[in-house]
Amino acid sequence: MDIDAELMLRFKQGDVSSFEKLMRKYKEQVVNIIYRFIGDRDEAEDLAIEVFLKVYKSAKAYRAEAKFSTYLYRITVNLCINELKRRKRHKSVSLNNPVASKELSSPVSILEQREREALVKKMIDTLPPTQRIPLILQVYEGLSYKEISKVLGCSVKGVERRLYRAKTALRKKLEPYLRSQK
Amino acid sequence: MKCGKVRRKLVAYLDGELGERQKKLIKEHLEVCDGCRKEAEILIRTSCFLKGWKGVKPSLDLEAKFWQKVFSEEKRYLSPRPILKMPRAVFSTVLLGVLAAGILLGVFIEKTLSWRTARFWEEEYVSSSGLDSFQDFPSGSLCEAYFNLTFKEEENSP
Ligand SMILES: [Zn+2]
Repeated sequence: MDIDAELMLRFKQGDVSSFEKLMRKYKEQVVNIIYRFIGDRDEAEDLAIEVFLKVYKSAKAYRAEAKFSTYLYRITVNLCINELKRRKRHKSVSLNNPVASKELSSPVSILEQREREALVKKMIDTLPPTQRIPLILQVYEGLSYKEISKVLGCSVKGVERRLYRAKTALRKKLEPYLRSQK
Repeated sequence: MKCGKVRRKLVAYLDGELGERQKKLIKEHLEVCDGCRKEAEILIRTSCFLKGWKGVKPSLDLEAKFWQKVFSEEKRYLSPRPILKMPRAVFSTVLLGVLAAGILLGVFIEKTLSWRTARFWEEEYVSSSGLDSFQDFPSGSLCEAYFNLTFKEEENSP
């Protein structure tokens, strides 16, 4: 059993300090998964609090069947998807703003770090959520295809297919800037 | 391995997700195929470019905000039901009213019951003491002699 699942079981038995350790360990990952998915830092933090609140409340029902991180990422991803649905219902800020052509006119080599980040963010936002989530988990959280399949509840082949589509799409969009970066 | 199949497996290959056999086949293909090698290079650069998005550091008060939320939810969960949330004055008045009604009801029930009980005991006492069948003393008993004596005295008295 992984050490985090053990901490969670200890919390289930009433040891609050074990929960604090877990939150301290994972808060940055959780905030960043949400931030990269929805694009707003403050909202990402509010939703991260919701994620930990869910973990806190469901401790009694917790069973260490999978790695704790898989359990935590699943809750995080579900919350991201629910947030996306909520936004679509309320027709608020579009999460899929296509990148305007003039914004992509400068070669990557002369872009500032902040601009490069904004460009990546916009590029990732153009992907459908079904590709965006596995991409975020793989590129930024370093999860294997197998781990992603457990988080998303799909097959490893399914993850491979989604990441292939996501990365080849981004490769096409970024190609002009990448060539100028040599 | 043909270029088409190599291209489809290239992303998984670069992510280190292929088995040993497929990995070897693709590696060998990339050594001899310029087109696929260039494709691999641009995919690697795409990944590096994506990784340039550093993300954010959570605020220092994130944990404090979390605990605040936990406590406020627990407080809400443990707080009294809405009926008890009425203003103190209203609550006291209602409580007094309920108490007064209770006392009145109690007094009424007590009165009714005690009247019925008294009657019941009266009847019970009369029948059980044998005074309603006082002529049935066993003949020759001391009771009959005493009864006859007092009865005659009463008859003879003016
Ligand atoms: Zn080839």
